[in-house]
Amino acid sequence: MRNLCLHQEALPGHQDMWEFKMKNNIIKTKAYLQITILIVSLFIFLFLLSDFALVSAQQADYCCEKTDYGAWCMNAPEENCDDNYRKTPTSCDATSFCRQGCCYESQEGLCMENTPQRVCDEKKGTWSDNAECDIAQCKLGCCVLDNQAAFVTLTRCKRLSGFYGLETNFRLDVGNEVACIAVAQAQDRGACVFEEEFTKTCKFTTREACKNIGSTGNMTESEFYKDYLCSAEELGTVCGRSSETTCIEGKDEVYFKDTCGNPANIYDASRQNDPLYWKKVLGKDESCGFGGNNANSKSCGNCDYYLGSLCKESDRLQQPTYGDYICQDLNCYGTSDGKDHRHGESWCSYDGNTGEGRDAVGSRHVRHICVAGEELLEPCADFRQKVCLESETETSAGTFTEAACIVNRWKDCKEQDEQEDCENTDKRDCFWIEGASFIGTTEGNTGESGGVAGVVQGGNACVPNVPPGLKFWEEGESEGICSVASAQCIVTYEKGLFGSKNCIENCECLEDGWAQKMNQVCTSIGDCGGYVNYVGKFAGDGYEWKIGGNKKTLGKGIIDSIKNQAGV
Amino acid sequence: MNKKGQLTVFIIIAIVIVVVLLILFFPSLKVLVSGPEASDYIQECTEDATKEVLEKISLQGGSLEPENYILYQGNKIEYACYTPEYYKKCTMQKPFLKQDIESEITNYIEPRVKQCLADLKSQLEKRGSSVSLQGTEIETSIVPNSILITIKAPITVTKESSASFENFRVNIPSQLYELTMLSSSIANHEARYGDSDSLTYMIYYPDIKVEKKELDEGRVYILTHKPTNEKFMFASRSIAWPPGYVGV
Repeated sequence: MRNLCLHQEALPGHQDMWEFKMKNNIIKTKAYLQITILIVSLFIFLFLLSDFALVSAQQADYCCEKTDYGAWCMNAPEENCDDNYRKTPTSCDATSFCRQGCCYESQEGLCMENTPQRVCDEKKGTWSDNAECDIAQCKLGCCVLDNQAAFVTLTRCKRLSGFYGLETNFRLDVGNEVACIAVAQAQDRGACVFEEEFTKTCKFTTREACKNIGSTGNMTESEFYKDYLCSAEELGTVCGRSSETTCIEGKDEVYFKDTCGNPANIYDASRQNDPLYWKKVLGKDESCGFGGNNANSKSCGNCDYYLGSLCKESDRLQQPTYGDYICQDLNCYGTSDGKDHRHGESWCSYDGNTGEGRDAVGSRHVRHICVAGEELLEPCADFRQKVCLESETETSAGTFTEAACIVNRWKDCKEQDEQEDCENTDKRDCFWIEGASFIGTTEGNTGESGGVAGVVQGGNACVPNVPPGLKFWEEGESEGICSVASAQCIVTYEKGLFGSKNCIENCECLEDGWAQKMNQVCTSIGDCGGYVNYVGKFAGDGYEWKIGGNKKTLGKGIIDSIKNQAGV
Repeated sequence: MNKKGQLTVFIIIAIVIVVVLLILFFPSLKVLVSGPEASDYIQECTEDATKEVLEKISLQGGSLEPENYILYQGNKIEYACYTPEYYKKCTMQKPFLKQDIESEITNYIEPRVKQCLADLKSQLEKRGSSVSLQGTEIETSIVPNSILITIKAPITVTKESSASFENFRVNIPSQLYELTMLSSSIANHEARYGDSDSLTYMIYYPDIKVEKKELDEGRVYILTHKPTNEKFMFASRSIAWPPGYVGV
C-alpha cells in the first residue's frame, strides 16, 4: 500500500481551489511480513534546494551601482546592471561606491540609515561609514517647542523651531523621549501680562516666551505670573471669562478660552461661571471626570487619548453645553469579531482554525487594529510566512488585547526528534504529532529505511504548527516538498486453502485510519495532501492512495472530519 | 425702431454672448478684459499644475515615472527602501524623499508655468503693452501645511506707465510635509529593523492613518491625513520571507 503525498494544485482561474491525489500500491501475498516505508525523495528535495541555492548564487554575483529596473546598489546578475553605471563582480558591501552607511541631510536634519554612498552623494547628502548613524550630527536631544517637545537632532530642532517661530531650545542632557516630554511639561507656564496700545492685555505662555514678548514691538515690559490664567481678575487685564472652548495642539483635552483667545482650564460646564475656575491653572487630576475618557460628554472636556478620547470639533449629534468641541470617542464598537475594542487595541483573525497543522489552504492571518474609532485590517505576509499572535493584558479598565504579525519559524521543525525541542516556542513554531514519524527521525526506522525519506505509522513527528503555503504553480518545489511526507506500507498475507488469503501483518494499513493519519502529516508540512481551502472546499488531487494498484479515495467521514478540523 | 437698429442690437447681444462664452471656456483670456492681473493669473496657472502633479506623485511614492516599483491597485508605487534578496534588510533608495518630491514638482510645473508666462506676455502685447520677460526660475519648497512655489520671472510691462514684477509666490495648502516626513521615518525603520508597526505611528500622529499592505513583492504603506483626506503611498521590501522551503 502506498500513499503519495502530493502538492495541492490550483484549479485554473481559481487560486484557492485545491486538489489532492493518492497513489497506488501493491499488495504482496507472501508469507513473510514486512513494512517498508519509502518514497519521496529527500534527495529530490535536497537536489531542489541545492538547485535554488545555485540559481541564487548566480543571480547575485555582481554589485550594480544601478540596475536596469532603477534600483540603486543591488547585488544582481550582470545582465541586470545598468551599463551607464559602475558594476563589479563582488558583493555591494565590498565596494567603495555601494557600501552602506549613514546619510545625513542638513536641511531637515534627517539621518537615513543603510544608505549606499553613491545614493547619498547623488542627493548631495553627507555620507558616513556608520550604517546605524551613530555620528555626532545624528545625536538626538530634546527639542523643546513651547509646550511640546521632540527628540530629534540639533539641525532638525532648529528647523522645527523655525517653523513655529520659536527660539531653538535643544538639550543634549535629556537622554530619551519620555524624559524629553517631561521637560516640556515641567516648564513654568502662566499669565504673561503686558501693555499694548495703552491696553493691559495678557498671553498665556511659558516664562521664556514671556521674556521675548516684553522685548518686541510697541509693548511695555511684560510680567510673568506663574500658574495664573489670563482671565484672573486679580491681574486686571482685558481678558475675561467666556463660554468658548478650543483644542490645543499636542493636548488631549477640551479647554475653555478667555475673551483674548488664551486657553484657560479644562472645559467643565458646571464651572463656566466660577471665578475661581478662571483664576489659576488646575491639573488634569483636579478637573472633572478624571480617570475616565469622558467621551461624548456634554459637560466635561477632560479627554484622555490613552483611554480612548480626544478633543475634536463636535458634530450636530453630539453638541456640548458650551462651545464647539467635545471629547471624541476613539473606541471601536461592533467590530468584525462582533466585539467592542478600545482605541489602540489590536487582535487577530484567521480563515478558520489555526495551529496544530489545521490552517486551510490559501488561508492567511490578519491583524486588526482599532484606532480613532476605525477598524483597520492588516494582513500578515502571504503564504503564512508570518502568523498573527495576540496576547491579553489585564488593566484597570479591563482586558487590553495586542496582536502582531510575527515570522512563522517552521523551517527546522522536521529536524526535531525530541518533543521538548519541537515544542520550544523560544526557538521555533512547531507541533508534535503522534502516531506517525518521518523515516530517519525515529529510532529503529533509520536502518530499515536506508536513508530514504518518508512517513511511517507509529512514533512521533515534528511538523510546522502553522503549515507554510507553497507556490504550487511553480514547477518542482511543491512536489519535492510534499513528497517528503509520502508513505508506503507493505501488508503481508498468508495464503489459505481454496485461494483465500489472510492478512497477517500491517493489516491496519488497509484501513481508512492509516490513510487519514498519513494525510494529517502530509497536510501539516505545507499545502500538501487532501485538505480544504479557505472557502471550505475539499479537493482530492493532493494525494494518491492505492491498494494493490487500485485507487482509493478518502471516505466521506474522513473528509467531514478534515473539514471540521480546518474549521471553515 | 427700424430694421437697422434692431440688427445692431442683435449684433451687440451676439458679441456680448461670444465674449462671455470665451471668458467662461478660455480662462486664460480673462487677462484681455480684466487687465494685467498677472499675479492672479500666474497663481492660478501654477496651482493647477501643482495639484495635477501632486495627484500623480502622491500615489506613486513621490515619483512621476517610477522605475523600481511595486504594482498595487493599478498604481506603480516606487520603493523608498528595497532589497531583491530574501532575509536581508533593505537598502535606502530615497533618503531625501521630500527633496525628491520638490524636484519632481519643479520639473513638472516648469514648462507649464513658462507657457503661462508666455501666454500672459502675448495677451499683454496684444493689448498694446510692451513686455520684457527675462529667464524664469522655479523653486519648490514643501513646508508644514503647504507647498510654496517661488517663480523668479522678472517681467516689465510698459504702456503709458511701466510696472514690474520680480517674484511670484504661490502657496498651496497641503499636508505633504507631514506625510513625507513620516514616510521617511517609516523607511528608516524598515532599513534598520526590517519592518515597522503602523499602530505605533498612528498613536503618535493621531491625524494620520497608516495602512500597511503586505504583498508578494514587498509592502505598501498608505498614509492618509484624516482631516484633509490627502494621501501618500510608498513601498518597501525589507527582510522578505520566501514562500515554501526556498533557502532552507
